[in-house]
Amino acid sequence: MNKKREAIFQFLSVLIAIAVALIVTFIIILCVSDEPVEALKTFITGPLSTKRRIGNVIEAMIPLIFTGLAACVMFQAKQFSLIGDGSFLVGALATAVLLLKCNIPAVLAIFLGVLVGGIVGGICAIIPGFLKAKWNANEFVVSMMFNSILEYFTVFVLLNFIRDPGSGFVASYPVPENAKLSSFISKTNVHTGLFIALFMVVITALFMYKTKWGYSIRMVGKNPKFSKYSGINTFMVIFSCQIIGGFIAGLGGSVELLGMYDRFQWQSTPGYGFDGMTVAILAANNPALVPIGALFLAYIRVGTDVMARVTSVPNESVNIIQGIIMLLITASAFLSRTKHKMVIRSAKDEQKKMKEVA
Amino acid sequence: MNEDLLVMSQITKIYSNGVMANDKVDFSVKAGEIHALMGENGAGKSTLMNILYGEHQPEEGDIFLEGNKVKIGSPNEAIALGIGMVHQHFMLVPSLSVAQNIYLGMEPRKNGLIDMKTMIAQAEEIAEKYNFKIQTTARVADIPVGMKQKVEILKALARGAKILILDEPTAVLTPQETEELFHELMEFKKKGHTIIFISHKLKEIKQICDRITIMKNGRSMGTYSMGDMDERSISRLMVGRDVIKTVEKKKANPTETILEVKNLSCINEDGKHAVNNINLKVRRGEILGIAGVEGNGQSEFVECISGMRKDYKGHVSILGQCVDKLNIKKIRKAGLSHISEDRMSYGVATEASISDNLISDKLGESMVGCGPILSSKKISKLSSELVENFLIKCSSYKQPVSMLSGGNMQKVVVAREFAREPAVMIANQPSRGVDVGATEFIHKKLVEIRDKGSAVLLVSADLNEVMELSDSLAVFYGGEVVAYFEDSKSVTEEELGYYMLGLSRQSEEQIQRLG
Repeated sequence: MNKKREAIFQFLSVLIAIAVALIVTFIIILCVSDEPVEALKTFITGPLSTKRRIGNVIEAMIPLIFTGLAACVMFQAKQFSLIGDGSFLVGALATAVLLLKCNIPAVLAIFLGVLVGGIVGGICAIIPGFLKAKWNANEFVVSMMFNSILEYFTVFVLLNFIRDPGSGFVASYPVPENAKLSSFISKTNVHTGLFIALFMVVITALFMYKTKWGYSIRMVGKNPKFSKYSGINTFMVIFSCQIIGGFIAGLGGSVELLGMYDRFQWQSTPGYGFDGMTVAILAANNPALVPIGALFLAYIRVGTDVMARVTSVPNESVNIIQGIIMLLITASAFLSRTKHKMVIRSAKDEQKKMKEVA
Repeated sequence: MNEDLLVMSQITKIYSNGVMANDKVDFSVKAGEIHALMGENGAGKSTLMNILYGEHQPEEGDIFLEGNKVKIGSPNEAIALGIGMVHQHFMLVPSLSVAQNIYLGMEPRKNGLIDMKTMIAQAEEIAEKYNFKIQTTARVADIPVGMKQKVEILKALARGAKILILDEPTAVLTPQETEELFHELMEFKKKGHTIIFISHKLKEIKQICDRITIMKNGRSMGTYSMGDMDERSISRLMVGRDVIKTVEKKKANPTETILEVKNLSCINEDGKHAVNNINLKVRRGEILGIAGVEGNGQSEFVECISGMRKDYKGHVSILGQCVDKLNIKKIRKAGLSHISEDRMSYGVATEASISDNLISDKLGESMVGCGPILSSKKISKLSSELVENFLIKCSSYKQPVSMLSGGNMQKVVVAREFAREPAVMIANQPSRGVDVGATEFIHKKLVEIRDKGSAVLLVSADLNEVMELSDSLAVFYGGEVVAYFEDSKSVTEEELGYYMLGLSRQSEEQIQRLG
């Protein structure tokens, strides 16, 4: 099929999926809400109504960018690993442990904290990545199960090593002030982690499109047989892309902790790994488009939050939107007839051309 | 008897990847005959039969059964119409018994539960009716391949099939099992069943079929009565070519050995020798052609020497360097280039751009960038050069390969493989599915690289191609070399056909000259 048609088709299918998801949500809101018009209005315009709420959108966007990038790298190689979720959590934990247990000089605190978060996040991906690359163990299942292990490991470390008994809830000792990412817009929590996120967007995009390694990842995703036949080490690609994904997600966990929290307090995954998959799908696995996908998801997140506070519609409605979008974009049968028709048209055009040439 | 029982008219099928597998195919079968459907791999036989069995929907065309137009939307509808199919790869549940497999999904019931006793009794009854000796309580996993096939056939018959499609049924059978199968098929015929028999084994088809339809490149080459056809005319329709283009080339001047293969054997999953003790040498400045009907070990042979497959015995060396079981990157580094026979699976990544496809084997080389960084400048220079030199018709090298025609796609493959000026070029079916112009171009390039001092191994099922292009010629049959001609001009197409179809074989001494 020709490229323009393909691109148009892809763009339209994302738009249609979003539209369908929103319509379904609106219908549900109409059914459950006493004041549907008000609810809809707050949902759509709520996030823009005050400076603080705009800040909320940007804050929510930061972790989504990291996990979105992580998912992009793995999806580009057709590795549907959920390890981003576990790496995000354990990355943040590692940062907390490092900052609380080691006496890091103030200048290095942020840098080292975030870096260690990333490295530990990458380490988390070693087992599922290796099992997939070596024995073709389904990365989705393995990473999902491994995430539970990581979750309980996190609780174990939190309770036994860094818990502050003086805190009113289960949480670590406060993270040193000098290690925190400060907010730079008044009246909001928008923190300097945003720049780290945008920096990672640039780095990841360059990595995927301008390096041999990134090229290999893309080729293995596009056609593993072709890659193997060309002499690309498919084992290393499948293994490494998951570690890179884990690394980026781990960075995200650190940044989220240092930007938004005083203490490490997650006893279960905050779920950004899954959201990252939605973001990557919206961005068509292109790292450069991840901020847009993350912005969209953050926007509807904050929108439903505001709606939940002002009206009787609970903010779980965002899950409906997210679910339907994921379902429709990933369902290959969605609009498959239209696509098949386009394929046939292209094939016939080509035949005509061939005949003219002959 | 002379009425057509089944007519498929003007069937066109285009797959989602844009491949036109059937192009306005007409096909008809008479009641009570055994009808052969013949053609090479990829000729569209299986597609046509999958359409008849309801597994694929055609884009155009109609199916008529006993004169009535029918629409077959799924295998269930096909079964309801009395059409049964036995696939080349068995579709059985290994952990269940023979009887359970036969009645899978239509088990006799009693009080809402499966009635095992009745099921076994029914299975035995039907096996007896068709004279099948089979133990209905055995687990399918434990029975031999020939038996599994019988289970498949019984499965179709138990569902009331009057028309039975057999997709290459003898591919997995021993000669004795084949004999038995043929005997059974003749019995079916007597009982009034109609059989469509897909195969590319000439002898078998001559033995049992009444009529034959030959397919090539997604088109039907016509239906003939078996009595009117001899092996030669069938092979001409199947592998032959109408346009004979003479490739212009000087006489070869072969010098030292570049590629050497010693005692190469490999065994396929079904336990058969796909390649059996092959010795050969390809010298600098010559094109060694390997002729043969597809499926006679050529693919496996190429897989072994190109490193795609490592479970072989024997030795391969390039320029004196042993490359046994090295990874593909190292084998390529040793000087091997390889045009894959399966363009869509191995040759290209269709979603990727032309330039991405051109550099995939050059990551270790300075022509695409230094260190871990890809240089856009170098890549664009290399890509535009290759696009220009290899006449790839495209608007830009950034276009995805999927937009190109088959011929231009193949030119992308050829351009990539030629760019490094390899010591050995393996060209496996280089002109398959490629238009005349591109074929000529690829041939010209192969001769060019030969004259520059490469050793070329050309594998092709296309008789004219191997005969025209090769300097010397080897024929594969049943995983072995059955003939070797030092001068490819010394043999006629007819003679070659006999070797290719296993009708004759050179003496060991003659063959050994090759290795």
